[in-house]
Amino acid sequence: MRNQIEFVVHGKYALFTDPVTRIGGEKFTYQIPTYQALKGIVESVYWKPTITWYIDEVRVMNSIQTEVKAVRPIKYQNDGNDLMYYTYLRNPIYQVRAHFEFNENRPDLAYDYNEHKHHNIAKRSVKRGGRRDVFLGTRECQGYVEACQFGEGESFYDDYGEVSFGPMFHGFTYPDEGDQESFQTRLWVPTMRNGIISFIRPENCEIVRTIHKDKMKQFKKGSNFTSVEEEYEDMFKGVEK
Amino acid sequence: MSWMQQLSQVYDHNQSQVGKFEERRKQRMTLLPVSHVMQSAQIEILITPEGEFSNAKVIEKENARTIVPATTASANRSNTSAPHYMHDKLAYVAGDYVKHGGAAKHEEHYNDYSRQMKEWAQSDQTSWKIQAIYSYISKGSVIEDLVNAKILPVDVSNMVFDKWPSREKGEKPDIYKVVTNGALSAFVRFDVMHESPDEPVVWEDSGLFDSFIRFLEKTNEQTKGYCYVTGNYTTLTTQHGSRIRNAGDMAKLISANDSSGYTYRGRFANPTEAVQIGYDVSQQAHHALRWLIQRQGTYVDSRYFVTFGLEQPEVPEPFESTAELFEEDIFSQSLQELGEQQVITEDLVAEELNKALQGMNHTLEKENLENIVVIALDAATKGRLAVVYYQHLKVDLFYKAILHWHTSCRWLQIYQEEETNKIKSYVGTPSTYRMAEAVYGSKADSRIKKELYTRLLPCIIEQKPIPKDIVQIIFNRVKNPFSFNNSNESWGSTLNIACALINKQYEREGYTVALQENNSSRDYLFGRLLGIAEVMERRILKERQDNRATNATRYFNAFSQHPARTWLVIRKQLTPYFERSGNSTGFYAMLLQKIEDRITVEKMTNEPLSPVFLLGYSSQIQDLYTKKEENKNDVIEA
Repeated sequence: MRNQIEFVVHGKYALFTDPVTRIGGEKFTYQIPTYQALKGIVESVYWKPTITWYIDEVRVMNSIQTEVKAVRPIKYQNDGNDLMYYTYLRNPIYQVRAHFEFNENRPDLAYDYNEHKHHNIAKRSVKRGGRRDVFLGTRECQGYVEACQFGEGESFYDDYGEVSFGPMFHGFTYPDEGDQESFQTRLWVPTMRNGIISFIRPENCEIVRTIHKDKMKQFKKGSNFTSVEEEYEDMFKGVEK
Repeated sequence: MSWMQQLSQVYDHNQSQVGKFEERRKQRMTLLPVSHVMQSAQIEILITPEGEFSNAKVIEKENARTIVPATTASANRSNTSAPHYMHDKLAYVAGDYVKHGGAAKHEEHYNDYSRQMKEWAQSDQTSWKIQAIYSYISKGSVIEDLVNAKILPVDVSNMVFDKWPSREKGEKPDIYKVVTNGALSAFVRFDVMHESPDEPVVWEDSGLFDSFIRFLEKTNEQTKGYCYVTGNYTTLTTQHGSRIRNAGDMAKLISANDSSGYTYRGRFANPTEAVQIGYDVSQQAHHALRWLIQRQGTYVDSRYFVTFGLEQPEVPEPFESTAELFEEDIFSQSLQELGEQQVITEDLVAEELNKALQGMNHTLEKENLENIVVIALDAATKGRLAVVYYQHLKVDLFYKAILHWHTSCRWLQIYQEEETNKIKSYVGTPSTYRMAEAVYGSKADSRIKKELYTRLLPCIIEQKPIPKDIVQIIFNRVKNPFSFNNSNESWGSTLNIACALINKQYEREGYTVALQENNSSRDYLFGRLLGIAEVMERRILKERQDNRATNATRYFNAFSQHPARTWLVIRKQLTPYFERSGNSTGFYAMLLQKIEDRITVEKMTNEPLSPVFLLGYSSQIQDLYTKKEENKNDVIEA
């Protein structure tokens, strides 16, 4: 696919919290990563407001195993500690395939619609393990990105057949990638075929729920971002050209 | 699929069980209908179809379980007024509660209750029974009637005695034997005179359950939306069930907590923004889980484990011993007889187990039933319950795993038959309960033991290797036979359990209870040496009716740490026995010589022995004790 990148992401643990258990705090993980979690990982690798990342496929490499940990999180409103059981996925390894498209909601950034440039930056970023630190689901589950060929190597689920996971959270639609005025949640029913989950595009999710009104973040040249030319000038001010 | 969806599937598949009582573990239980809760009642009032008081009685504890129609508010009520329907506490059902000594703040309770009942009685989902009950309770004379029926005793000013005053003469009335918090907190259930003998009582009448469910659907205008569990557009709820593990358990699996913990804050303003859950799926999942736990759950400390099939809940319990898995005594008859002829019952048991499991597996598969779920729950704090283990397997994998566990983690198990007090033995897997006792000692904290259960679960149902530290702990305990003195535990049975676990750890090497003559691993041979020394000395001491510990036992620990050096010591101390007893010990001397020869010079070191040495020891002892006849022949030869 055009503008596609492929990488493998792995970590010691992952926690893609099931929203049902999220609100109480005793977090229990989904068995597979959500679209949104993978999108977050790709955005950590490389992101600009000009582009929107789409996750095409994920390949689950290791068998799905969970491990429970008793944790002592700090309470939000006071200095005390709480006691909780969190259930993590152990030794997760995922191969991911994603591509970007330009964000039609940002015509003001149209001058930056340079496919070749963004694709190359993205590929370079993957090679270097991403630009920001990567985590699998929740912040304490640090992940590591490496370039790979999607489909190479052996997966535990290679000849496993089909597994259905029932309705799951797909992702959020933020105003800047949706209708510009609301914050939405999407649900879908994923199926894993021989370890591979092909994601449907966000706009194809049948179940969409508007959570509340929200507005798009504005990017104004000179006030909350600077162009690369200005940045260059600024950086190399004192240097002889 | 998520655990909630799985559980609600169990509910769907067992719809026929709803409201039907069965007795298990000496308790009556049932799968509750949606929108109903289980409560214990203490007083039963029978009324006539016209709504007149007929009579009343105090209910004994065994029959107290009552299915009560409830709203989400009443099922989760704490201090505020939130009445159930139909049956409830005196404070709700009695219009004259305050008049007879109840706290004044409970005035509202009755009003709320009767308003609710009126709605149901006047709706099109009503039945003549509900109307009869409503017309009775609207008289507001429940306590008065109970007083007249001599259920509730009153003092001179017509106030109910909340507690039976000790100065009062006569026998304590029955009501005080069943209530825990005072007579005024008693729970009342109503029944309407039956027209025919096979008519169910009101609280077990499935027709009434359905009519209540429909009534609630129509009247309760609740918010609708997409359910995150089923994906359906449906009626939602924010209140979820408690009392999942037992009647006093207020911990909830689903709760919203952001005022004290950082759980969803950020994107969302309130819990319903973060997740929405359907009323039906929540009710069904919680009822199913409660039912399964009561029916077939096990628990250690606060942790509850339950294994169930989605379509047919009954499946083998992973924590059971091989004997328990066979229910009662398949070993007693044919197997035991065979076993007496040949010590090697290992394959026999495995074969029988395989047959039995395949039988069970077969009945399951035949009906296309193919999923099994293992789930464990625990609460770190009082209020919130967490899923701490969840595994969803295909049925054939599950049975394969259970069979594998019972054929790889096994050793000689000795038990006393309850009826005959006979000591019987078989080769099989001890129960997880006994393993926990053996690893940590019977006096260990149950919080430690529950971790062992949780850690063994993957070994049992996912065929994972056994954690090494568990084997090491029990090995260290068994190494010190003297630490078992003055305790109720038996060193021998702990040794057997240790051997089962060691056997599991060294699964690939294929150790058997039957002595492996050709095994020349260092640990195994040293174990055999110690075994021979033990049996020989024990025999001689027994002949002399001397009850002291053998040298082998005394040096057990030292032997495992410095085998070569300690063996020299033991060997030296055996010398007098050889000299004095003459020919009868010749066989042992020969055996020892044979094994010593096989331990080469490189192996004859003081490097500590691995747990495998226990296997050699146990097998050797077993061999010498059971092959008496053969031995005698050997003696002559030697």
